[in-house]
Amino acid sequence: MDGFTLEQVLALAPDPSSAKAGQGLGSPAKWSLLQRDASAVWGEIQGSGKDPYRTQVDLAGPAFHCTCPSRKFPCKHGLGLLLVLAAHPARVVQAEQPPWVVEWLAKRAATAERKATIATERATPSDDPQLHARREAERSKRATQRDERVRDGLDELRLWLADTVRNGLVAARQGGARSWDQMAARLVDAQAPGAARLVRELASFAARADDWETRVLERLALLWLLTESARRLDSLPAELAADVRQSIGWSTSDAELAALPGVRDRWCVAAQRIEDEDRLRVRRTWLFGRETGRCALLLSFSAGAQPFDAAPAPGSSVEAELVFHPSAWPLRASLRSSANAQALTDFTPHASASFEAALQHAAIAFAAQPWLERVPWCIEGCIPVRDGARWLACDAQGHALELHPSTPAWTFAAVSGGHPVCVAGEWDGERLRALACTSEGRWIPLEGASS
Amino acid sequence: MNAWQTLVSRALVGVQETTPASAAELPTELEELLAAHLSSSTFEPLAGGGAHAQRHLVAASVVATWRRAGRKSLPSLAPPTAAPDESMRLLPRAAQSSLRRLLAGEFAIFARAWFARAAELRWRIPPELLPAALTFAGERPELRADFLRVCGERGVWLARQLPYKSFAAGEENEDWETAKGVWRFGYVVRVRAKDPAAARELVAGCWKTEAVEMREILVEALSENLSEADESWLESVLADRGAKVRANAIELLARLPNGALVQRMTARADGLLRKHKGSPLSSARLEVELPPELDDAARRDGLDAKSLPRSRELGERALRLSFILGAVPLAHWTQRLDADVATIVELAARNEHGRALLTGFSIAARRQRDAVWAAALLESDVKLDPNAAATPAQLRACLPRETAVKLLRAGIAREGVLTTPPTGWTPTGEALIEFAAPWPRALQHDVAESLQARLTVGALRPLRSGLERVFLGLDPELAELCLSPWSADETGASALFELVRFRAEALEALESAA
Repeated sequence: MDGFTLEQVLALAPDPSSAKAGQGLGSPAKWSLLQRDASAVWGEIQGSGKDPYRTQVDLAGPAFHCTCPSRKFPCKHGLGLLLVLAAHPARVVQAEQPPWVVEWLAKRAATAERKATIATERATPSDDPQLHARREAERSKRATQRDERVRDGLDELRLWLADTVRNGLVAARQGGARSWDQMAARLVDAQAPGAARLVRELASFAARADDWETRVLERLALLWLLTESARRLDSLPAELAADVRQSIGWSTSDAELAALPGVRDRWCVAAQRIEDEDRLRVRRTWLFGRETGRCALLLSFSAGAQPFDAAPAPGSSVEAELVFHPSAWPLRASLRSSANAQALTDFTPHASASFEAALQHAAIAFAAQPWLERVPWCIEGCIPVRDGARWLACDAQGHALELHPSTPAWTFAAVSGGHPVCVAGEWDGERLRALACTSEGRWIPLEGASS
Repeated sequence: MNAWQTLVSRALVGVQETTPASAAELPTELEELLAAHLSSSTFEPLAGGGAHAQRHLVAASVVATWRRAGRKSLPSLAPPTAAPDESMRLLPRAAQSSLRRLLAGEFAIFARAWFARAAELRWRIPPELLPAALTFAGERPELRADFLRVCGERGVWLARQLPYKSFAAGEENEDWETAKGVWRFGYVVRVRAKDPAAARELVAGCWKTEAVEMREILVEALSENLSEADESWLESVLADRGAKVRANAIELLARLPNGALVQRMTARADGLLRKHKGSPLSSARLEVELPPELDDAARRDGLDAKSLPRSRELGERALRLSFILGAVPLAHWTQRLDADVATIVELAARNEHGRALLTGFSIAARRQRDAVWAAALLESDVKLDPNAAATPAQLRACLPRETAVKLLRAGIAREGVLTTPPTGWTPTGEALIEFAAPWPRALQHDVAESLQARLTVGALRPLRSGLERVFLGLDPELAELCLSPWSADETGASALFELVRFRAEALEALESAA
């Protein structure tokens, strides 16, 4: 690939100050060495130390490595290097990898291999029967313990839900965040972090000025449905049971994933959103498969200044193998391998022609998996229109949906210019979050475009 | 949806035993589903009297899922008229990244030059950067003209969609009535360029209703295409309550050589300034009287202490003399005093009231854009109070550019750009800081040479702000040359190096073909 676009590189920054610092290093004059080959780009830059820092980027990830002492990931040097590649590609010379690049790339390949081996090892029974038996015993003991804790936690949740409805939503709202937070903390103790998050979010719904009672009751009802389903997990179809477990807070293990078949395709990395959740940052990357026509969601978490794992950069298309987590409506996936990234210029093949078609599709999704929080959205012929304090996205058939208030609506309006454009985003059943669009043969992210 | 509303309203107050069970108006399938579930063996009623709440939650979960899945779209609204197609090329990638940094507030001092160059090369800002760029240019009036040249059709279209009146929205006649504030100012300026009388009518028409701050700038808006037709209205403004409004009106009236104000001031001045012809024993000199007590006419003409600026060097009556002289056509003096400009200036400098005289002449030179007088005043050594007199930069602006450049080069040759040791700027250096780019090559070379000769490491930080402005006038290579003896880290003036480098790269990016 020729490298990344400016928007893609900025999207990789862990926070705005890193983006700015990276931009400051995006000029070739600062680098004493700038080289690349087909798979990686590397450089040397003088920092505050005696020797220059050595920065390198594995273009396939992208993954970063730098000798500077910064704890941020990627550091400003990594961002700067990619920015130089994006804006001044002629100044980055084709060359053979020096030893320090060969070494790091080899280490990466070895780690990846080792992880894969461990995963398969864990999945297959060990040769030593005693070791294997002991491992199994430990595992089942932990599992049983967790099951019990979760069951107790969910029982408490049921009582709490009934009490909340019995005393009334007004009383609950007046009680303030304390009422929700205590129950959420109890669920965390019960090893049900997913349920805990669903409870915690009630605080933000209750704080809304308009429609809060609808949102709160919806969430309480959803939680109720979750506890009911958890009680009869065995009688549910396997995929739906997987969704229930996922919503409560169990995650699919690497071993389980390793055993599932992968889906190979050329995937458009159409859009991305990074959100702050309590103490974590969550990154959602949406992919559309060119041949299979499937949609996939890559989820990444980072705590504090920790890096997100490598994921294909939005605005590119990659040949990748994804493995979908079991679900009644499979969306979430993990990346098994990726290669051969190229720039993305449009994602119209995946787009619905109208909101009606997309809403039908969403209806089936929400009905199949009621705890699905958002479905991917790709629609062509869309124009944003202002309606007083809110914005609507209008399609070509005379229908409209409300845009989420966090969408940078004026950027969207400027890119559209009153012309219909193809948009990729998320639909949460209430409002549409427009994340990226294509126009004039360019892929344009809507968030962080002009900040 | 009624069933949901009922569920919500009941839940708001609390679902107690006494609350009648269940909701009405559910679609039949849901009603049946609910009934079946509630009566089946898998339904386990909660202990402790929560049964009604439980039933409520079960019903709510069914209806909520149904609502969410069955969400319908809203009726669409009419989209705005589509923006016209663009004819200009899109800004190249590398230049887009320079623009992003400028819009983020970095290298603010370079923004104007960047926009000017981008406009010259006829680039177009990418649409996703337009909202930020519109705000940026809205806050910086000096950028607006160039912004309008690079924003493309889409930029004007976007400005017209905004809920407030943007400077970029262009003329829209009907909006004069509803629009307020600074938009009216822009509108008057645009109309004045095409139809001066109409602009004056507009201002006169809204005069009674506008606040004093608006009246001040509306008068200024009439400064282009000033003519004698404006005189009678401007004279009426002399009775306005706002001091600055009156002062602005006087500024304009003083530029009408056949006007009544000028004639009044000339009459006053003739009584105060005379030349005494020399004799073989004594040289020629000027006789100056300070103005007498104020009368109503003088107050109306803005000569009272409250209307005039405050000056530390000139007393009240001396200042009044200056402002009287400031309204007199300079040609009058060469005739009446029967001497050339240089002589008059020299005689004035020697006079005991020299400061007041020269201040007055400088004000007149600025208003009348008189190059000869401006040059003569610049040559004279007398330092004038910048509160009252025209500043050297303003006088220089009256000169044709070549003359200004010549004076600057002479100044550089005489005293250099920096003092020795380089703790500050010489008067020529200060003049350079104000002098607008682009500078002709010869001047640039002189400046670069002078800098290279005197600039030291220690001076880079204290003189940073002046150096930034001077470097903007030099071509990027020359600027880098001046900084080449040092590197960014050792000087502690990394911001200066950043600016020079950023500017060099940004300008290069603008020149690139794609």
